[in-house]
Amino acid sequence: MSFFRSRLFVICLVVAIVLALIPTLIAAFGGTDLLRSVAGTVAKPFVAAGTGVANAFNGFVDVFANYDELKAENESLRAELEELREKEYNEQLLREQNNWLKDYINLHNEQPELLFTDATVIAREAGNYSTVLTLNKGSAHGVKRNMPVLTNKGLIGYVSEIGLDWCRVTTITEPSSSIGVYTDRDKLLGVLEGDAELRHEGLCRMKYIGGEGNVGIGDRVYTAGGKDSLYPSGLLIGTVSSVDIDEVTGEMVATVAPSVDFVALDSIVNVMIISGIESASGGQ
Amino acid sequence: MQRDLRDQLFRPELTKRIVIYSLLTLLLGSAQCSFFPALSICPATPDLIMGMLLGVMLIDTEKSAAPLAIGAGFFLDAIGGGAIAYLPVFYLLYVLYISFFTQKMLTSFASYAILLLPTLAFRAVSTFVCIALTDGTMPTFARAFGVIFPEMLCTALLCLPLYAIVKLCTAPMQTHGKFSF
Repeated sequence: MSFFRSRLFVICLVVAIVLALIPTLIAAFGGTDLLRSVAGTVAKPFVAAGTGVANAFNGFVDVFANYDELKAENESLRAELEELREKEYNEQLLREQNNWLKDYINLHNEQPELLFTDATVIAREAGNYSTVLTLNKGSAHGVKRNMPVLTNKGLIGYVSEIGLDWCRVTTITEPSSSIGVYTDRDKLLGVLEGDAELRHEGLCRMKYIGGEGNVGIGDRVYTAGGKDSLYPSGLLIGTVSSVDIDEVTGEMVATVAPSVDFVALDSIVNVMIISGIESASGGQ
Repeated sequence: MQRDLRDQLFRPELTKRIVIYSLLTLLLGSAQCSFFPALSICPATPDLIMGMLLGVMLIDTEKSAAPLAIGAGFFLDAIGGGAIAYLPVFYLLYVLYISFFTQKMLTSFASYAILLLPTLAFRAVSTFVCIALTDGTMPTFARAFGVIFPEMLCTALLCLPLYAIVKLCTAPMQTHGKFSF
């Protein structure tokens, strides 16, 4: 206790008052105290490190302290993401539908005499080499047996089986399919048939090619039409991919690659059924 | 006489004290002004300098504590003080105040823990006065529960380990503390 009555304590008190007063007065007059400035500079790295460590610690603690809040936010963001995904999916569907309608209009403009009924593929033949499709339209919608079915790319096949509100389509690659066709370059007539071997590759065979001229690779093949044909004239089927000579008959045989990809049949969703042909007088 | 004074000022023991206490002040002052105010789990900033001064008072002497109080107050004012630099006087007054208690106590952690109570009381009163001077509109209840109690709690909790730190730092010195267990 004697220290507080000593001269050293008085000196300490005076120094403390001076150290308190001088910086206060200098600050009041807008100046900067040199000693304080030096102390501040010396302490700066420590102060910065202290703040940095505290912030890092806060970040670490926040993970645990705000766990419920973060969890709720995470769930909310997940729900939002799910909603956005659904929205995008719906928009994608609308885009596809829009494209489909555009194609429908284009096809209708190209062949104005044809009457179309749109349909959607609802089932495919169970098996790895599916070439039979089930559509969502049937007799209730005016669909009849043997009506041609096509997409904007080309001919698919014909309605082979019919129900009240469904129908089954046999594609042109099936061995039971036989269509009168012609090539666009030399107008050579022939018969396009499904082939048991080529079916799995999504190809058809054009036989009985008659007339003068040659069938060349790349020639386009169209339906020939005719009184007894299921198909109207001028529907695109595909292009010639190879030309061979039949070893048995010695006749020219062409392999046709349909415009519709029958290997990737899953990609076909919307199709059109030719439900009638409008005559020049306006009747069906 | 001049030679005696020079010898006294530059004796190795004094230099050792100055260096050790300066480093301790630098670290604790920086922590008090930067680490704890930024720490989100800490509801109030603890007064570590008071804890350090209490430890020095118990382990060393008031002759060491008084200049240290001035230096620490000045340093705190420099790095985190307001417009009025009052901390050198404040801490010197604290040393004077706590010396009434320390002279009757033994140098031990138990003494340190007991003396934290008058330390906290001193801190609480000073905070109360500061709030009254700077923000007279704050209700008393809000002062007590919003500021003073959290500050007392944090200071009490975080100053307890300071005894060991001060003891460790003063180990190389020839301290003149009272009876030590």
